[in-house]
Amino acid sequence: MTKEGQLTINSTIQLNKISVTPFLKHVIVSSIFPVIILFVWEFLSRIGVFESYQLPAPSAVLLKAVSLYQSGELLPHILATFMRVLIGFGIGTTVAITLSILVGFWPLLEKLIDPTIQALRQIPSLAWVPLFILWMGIGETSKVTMIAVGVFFPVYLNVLSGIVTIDRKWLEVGKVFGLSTCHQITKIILPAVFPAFFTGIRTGLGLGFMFVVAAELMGASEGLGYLLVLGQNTLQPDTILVSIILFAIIGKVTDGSLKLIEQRLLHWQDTEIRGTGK
Amino acid sequence: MSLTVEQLTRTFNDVTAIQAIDLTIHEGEIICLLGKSGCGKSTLLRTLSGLDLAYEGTVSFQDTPLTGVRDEIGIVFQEPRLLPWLNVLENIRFGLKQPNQATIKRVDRFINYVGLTGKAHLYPKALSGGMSQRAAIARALVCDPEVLLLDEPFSALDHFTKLELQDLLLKIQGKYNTTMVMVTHDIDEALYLADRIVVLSSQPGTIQDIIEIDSPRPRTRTSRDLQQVKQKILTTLHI
Ligand SMILES: Nc1ncnc2c1ncn2[C@@H]1O[C@H](COP(=O)(O)OP(=O)(O)OP(=O)(O)O)[C@@H](O)[C@H]1O
Ligand SMILES: [Mg+2]
Repeated sequence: MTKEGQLTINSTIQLNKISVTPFLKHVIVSSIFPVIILFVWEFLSRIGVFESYQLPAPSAVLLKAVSLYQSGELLPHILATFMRVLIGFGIGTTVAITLSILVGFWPLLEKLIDPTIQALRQIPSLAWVPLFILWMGIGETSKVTMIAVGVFFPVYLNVLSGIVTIDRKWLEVGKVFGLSTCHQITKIILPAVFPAFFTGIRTGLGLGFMFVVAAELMGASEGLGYLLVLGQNTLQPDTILVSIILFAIIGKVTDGSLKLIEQRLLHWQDTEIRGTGK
Repeated sequence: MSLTVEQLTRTFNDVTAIQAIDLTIHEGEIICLLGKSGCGKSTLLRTLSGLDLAYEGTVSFQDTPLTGVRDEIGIVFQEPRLLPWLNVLENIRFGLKQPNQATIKRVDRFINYVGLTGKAHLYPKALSGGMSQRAAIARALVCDPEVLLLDEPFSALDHFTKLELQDLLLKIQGKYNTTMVMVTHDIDEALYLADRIVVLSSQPGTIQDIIEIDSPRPRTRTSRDLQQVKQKILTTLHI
């Protein structure tokens, strides 16, 4: 921000030097390792170290992806998975934020329900799966519920800890300057909780993807998790790998977007951002 | 009679920070609190601000007991306490209820006074310690309080900025007749500013001495009278 402000027109070249080169460098440096792995993997596959029915070559996986795409199967699968995560994430986050705000600002409620939530948290969320399937069948409802439960806990815990650990010093600033309770919340508490909130939703999103896989493995007729099962049942490791790689890409892209929003909104934070040299 | 403290005692889990303080702070007066680190200066200032109500004794403002923070009483904390998500300008404007043309001008003027011109759009993370402190002072001053409590406001500033801001305080005091209570470690600063210097003893903090300084303002910092008072304070503090 400040860097841009200080730049003048005649330093356009400098601008390139400052921002583009490190980015390119970062991209290049971080791709060295995976590229080497890919080449070694391809090479070993070609000379027959890996059997193709166990671990197909990268080129074979790519070809499989292309053929799945061209047959029109791939996009619906991606979309199905993505929508499940999105809806589950939306529900889980909304419930978590509402509850954590209520619990955080209402001591009675904290005493009443927080211990229960803390206890439920100890149950590995996947343990709920059989019960949900029993209750809601194997359709979309149980899948979305599962994802929502997975997303709920990290968001709830992070936002709540953000609320209860707000520095008294800032609240005092609000008090001294005569802020109403409403302004105390909007001008001090919300911005102060924002960092914890982002940590929560980013962890939550990660768990959302974990749970969508679990849900789709249980039984689904579409989705990337379904592709995994399909690949296993039809002895097609390339299909499995296509699905795994797509999960990696989608996860990275969604988390990257959240991270970008976070950096925009939390630019005031005095933290070092690792790896970007800022 | 503006701010009165009677038999004020504040105890933090069995540790008595200040004990049996009696003090009447008159309107338009500048009082400096001197004392060793940990003797209870900040504690006293916080009770005067209405932020800390867990005391024994009485604190009254304009003859009514102080039951909480009041718009008429402003405080500059020992740490700058700028809100990190607001830039300098937004931080300084923070206490203003309804920003209008006049207050916006006022904010600009105070940014100027404290020497932060051109820094208004920086965020606290990009400020030096002294810059943050100056922003915190401006934030309290723009609200035009009747009583201004200052907790070591100039401790992170270089000598010259400090002198400038001392004069700024005097100027504001002269213009608005603001009552000021200021904690400081700098005896020369107290001598230059104060009508009365309150010396606190340590553990528990009690009033050890109150020294009236009659010399008219503007004072010469090196005047012989003041130096004699300084000697006296130094001996008091060493006991
Ligand atoms: N919130 C608190 N809880 C417990 N003890 C406290 C608290 N605040 C202050 N004290 C104690 O009260 C005493 C006085 O503290 P205070 O902060 O008023 O000192 P001070 O005179 O302002 O010191 P300094 O010059 O270092 O700022 C100290 O012994 C301190 O440990
Ligand atoms: Mg102090």
